[in-house]
Amino acid sequence: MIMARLLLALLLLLGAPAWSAPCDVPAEMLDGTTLPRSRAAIAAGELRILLGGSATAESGGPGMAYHARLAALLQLEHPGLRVVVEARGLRGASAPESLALIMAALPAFRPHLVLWQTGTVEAVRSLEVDDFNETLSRGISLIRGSAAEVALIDQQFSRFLRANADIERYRDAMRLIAAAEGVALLRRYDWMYHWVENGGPDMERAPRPERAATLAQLNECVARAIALQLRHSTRR
Amino acid sequence: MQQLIRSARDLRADVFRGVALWFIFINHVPGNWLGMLTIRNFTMADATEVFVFLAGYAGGIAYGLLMQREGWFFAATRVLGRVGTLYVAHIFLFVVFTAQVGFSAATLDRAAYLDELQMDAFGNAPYEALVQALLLAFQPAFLNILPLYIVLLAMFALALPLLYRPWLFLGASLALYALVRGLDFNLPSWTGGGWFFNPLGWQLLFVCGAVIGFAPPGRQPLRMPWSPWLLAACLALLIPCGAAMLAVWHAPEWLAALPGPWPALIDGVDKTSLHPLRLLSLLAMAYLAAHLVPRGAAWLNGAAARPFVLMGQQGLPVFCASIFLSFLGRLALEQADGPAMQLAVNALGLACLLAVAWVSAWYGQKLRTAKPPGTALPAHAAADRA
Repeated sequence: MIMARLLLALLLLLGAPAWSAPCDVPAEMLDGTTLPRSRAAIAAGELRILLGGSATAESGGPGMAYHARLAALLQLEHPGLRVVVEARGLRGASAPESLALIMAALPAFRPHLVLWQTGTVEAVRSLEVDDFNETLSRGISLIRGSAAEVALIDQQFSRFLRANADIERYRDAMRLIAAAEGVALLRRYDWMYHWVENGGPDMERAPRPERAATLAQLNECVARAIALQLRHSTRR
Repeated sequence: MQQLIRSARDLRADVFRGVALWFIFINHVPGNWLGMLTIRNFTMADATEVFVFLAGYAGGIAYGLLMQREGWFFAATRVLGRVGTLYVAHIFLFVVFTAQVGFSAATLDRAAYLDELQMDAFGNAPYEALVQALLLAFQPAFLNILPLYIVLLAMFALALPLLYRPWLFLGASLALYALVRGLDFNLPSWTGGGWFFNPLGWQLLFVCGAVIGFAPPGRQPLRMPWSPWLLAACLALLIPCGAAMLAVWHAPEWLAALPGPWPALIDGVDKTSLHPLRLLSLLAMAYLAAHLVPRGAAWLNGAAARPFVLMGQQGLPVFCASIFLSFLGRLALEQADGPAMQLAVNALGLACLLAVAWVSAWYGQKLRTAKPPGTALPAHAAADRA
């Protein structure tokens, strides 16, 4: 455990020059689950990642697609590696809908890792938690059945959501399922909250003229945080 | 405060109910730091279970005695009067919620960011939303305990005579619970699926409370006697469940590494229809509390317990106030959620809950003592506060 902590601290230090100050991710906000298949893929020279979700995963969506940045960051980290990151998203897609998008893309793309970003739409529309649980479990085993590894990305942080939707219940559901199924949970909600608290990108407080710049910064931060989590999960 | 507390009651039930009401306020304000300390973090059951169970307990005593004195029809009418009050309170809170969503949306100017969200069903189809809210089929986030309570009390009004046959009552309730869970039946919800809290499942907890509370004429209320075996059984249930819940929040990877079906088991513990583990957890805690805390424990009259006893004794107004105050708490934390605001929300929230309890108790007492002679009303004011 202590070794792991030390290793992590070292990794963070090594990664330090790449960070712009406001969007770091504290070590305790990284998931400890390992991703052996992705690690093997990196060693073998090609890593294919499929990102599935709602609008923020939509390719060419409303300026929120961060998957291109993620690919670039991974490429930078592993110069010899062939990195392909594809995204499948649809505005307002619930978990069953984003799962369907993912499943449709699996046979042709054959990713090593599926990042399933979900839960926000469920919370907003107050969809049934039990159904959400069931979809997550079913989705995880379906994706695993295709020989891909899967990691979940949880909800975005927003004060509006927190005040007006019962977001905690859906976060709890994702945490439970991730623990139960032994899949990594990328804690985007905690990351974004941490950034908001520490002078990082804050969409809900950005003045209108700065929105586009803030959004770009947020995408950069999310991409970096995911890259850091992947580095952490594929460490030896 | 002391003179407003009706000390002839079982103060243990009151103090736990008071704490549950406080926890309901806390848990309805996401982002509240105290939320990490409420019982849902280390038990399967949370404040909702405690509230429903003790509402059944208090209701069993108050309306059972009223029925004994005045007959079923009178007592049922009184219960339905409560139902009416709760219904109106719920519709009021629905209007508050709708206003709050609009207000937050305007202040935070969400359009640029959360554009994938169709938050307010109200904005999309206002007329239908209103009709569905009136039918209790549309329950926005955080507005799901009141509809549960409304239906529970309405069913209780009809079932009151069964209080005289506690085992039959319990058996019928258990049968309904098993049937509903077996068939996966739930009341319909407008937004799809069923109710957040399925009253047909949750009624079992209410009935457990009621038969434990009410003593039929010439009989004792149902009691589980003290036994080391039962103690061991309670601990054997609560400790692993508690450890599992703590692991879920603080070390999920340990949970995944555990041999055995723990993760899958926790995964399947639904809140909607009151999973048996939730039910048993609550009953085990109640058993321990009932036997480990003596009826006249000195601390129940102490300064720390007194505010919660008072809140517990004024359950209905405090409950409605806690839901209403949680709206304000959420709005406040939306503006800022640092230590100063956390302190303000929690201190003011608790103070307001206490103030509501105080005023309600004071008014009830006045009503009982300053009565014009010959009216029947004041005699029942006590029962009314259940």
